[in-house]
Amino acid sequence: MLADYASGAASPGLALLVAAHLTHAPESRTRVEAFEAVGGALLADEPVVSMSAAALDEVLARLDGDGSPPMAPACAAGPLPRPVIDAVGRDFDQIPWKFRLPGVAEYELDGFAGEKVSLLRARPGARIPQHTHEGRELTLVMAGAMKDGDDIYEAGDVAINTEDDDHHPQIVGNETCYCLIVMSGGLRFTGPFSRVLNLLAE
Amino acid sequence: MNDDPATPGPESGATGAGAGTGAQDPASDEALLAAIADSRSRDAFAELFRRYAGRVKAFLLRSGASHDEAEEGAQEVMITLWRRAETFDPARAGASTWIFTIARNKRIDMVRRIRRPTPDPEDPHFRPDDDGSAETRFSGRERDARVREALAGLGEDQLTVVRLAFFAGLSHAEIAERLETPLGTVKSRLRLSFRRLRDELGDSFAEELRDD
Repeated sequence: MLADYASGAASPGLALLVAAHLTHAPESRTRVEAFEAVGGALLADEPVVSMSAAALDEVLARLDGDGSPPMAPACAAGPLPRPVIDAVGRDFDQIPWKFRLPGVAEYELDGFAGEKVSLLRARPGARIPQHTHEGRELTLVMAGAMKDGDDIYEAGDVAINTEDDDHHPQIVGNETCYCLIVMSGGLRFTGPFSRVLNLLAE
Repeated sequence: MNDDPATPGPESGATGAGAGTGAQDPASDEALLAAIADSRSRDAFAELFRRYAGRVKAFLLRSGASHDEAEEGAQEVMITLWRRAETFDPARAGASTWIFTIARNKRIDMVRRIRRPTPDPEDPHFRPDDDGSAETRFSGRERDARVREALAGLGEDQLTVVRLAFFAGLSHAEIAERLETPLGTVKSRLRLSFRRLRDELGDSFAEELRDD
């Protein structure tokens, strides 16, 4: 998963989940950098394709043009990591949560074709419902903590469920728990996930 | 693809093949980036353009861009390099790795038209690196050179899957489809490649490559 993020192969939903995870996980950032170094080495060894004759002059003429377009003012993030609130595109206190169960609310993000990407808000003591799903469901804890069997998941940890699993993790501690949930159905993500679980949850 | 021998390779490519180095050593890629960051040196930029623009174009062509798209994309990558040179941190990445990340992001923008999500070090939730533990023993530049040497030791089949995974950004299933090779074969070739890289690069680095 980290390798797919580094190479750019990760789907948009998965890339969002990894970016949010990296906010809390410096050791994973180091791993992403190692994978990127493989890309850098391949780039350095890539045979040169000639550029158009005027390319350098054209680019030199463009260097002092106006920079990147002005950024929209950043949304207030509350407890959410920056990449997630940017994807939500509105202030944290403007998120239109939808009631799911007592103590549990959800907000689904738009624009992720082929994936379901949503935020979950769960009060202490609540149990996270299992989504009906085919394929895999990745849950990143962004704030608060949840307990699944003997495992405690805190900010930055990722839990991975397949359709065969029957887990109902419970929110522990006094803090409201916020999760990012990414569901993908296709074959695309049936690779190295069991090991990623160890890697991310350790 | 024309492999023009007159075009100097990225300078970090001096993987021991030191034949023919002139009296004065060419500036390193990293020094050129520093010259852009410090004094907006257009000469340094022009030199980096000569070293990298054609490689970035080749990378974008490999990813399925048309010739025109690849040409325009490579120019835009070089302009981004100019604008963001002061964010280059030689302790974290070598120049070719940093340029790879810009080119990769460009490719994602071209395909998806949405910005790639990245962690933000200014985010109050951002957990900084643990002191010491994540300390790399190599500078980014040294690491790039060592990774290049290690890749040179891979067999052609292994290099092909590594290139498709890390460079073309294909999933394992997509690589299997592209090569008309069973998925299991793709995975085992990647696994073997990583084992080889680990052997070459030593433990501290190998630990970081422990994903697939």
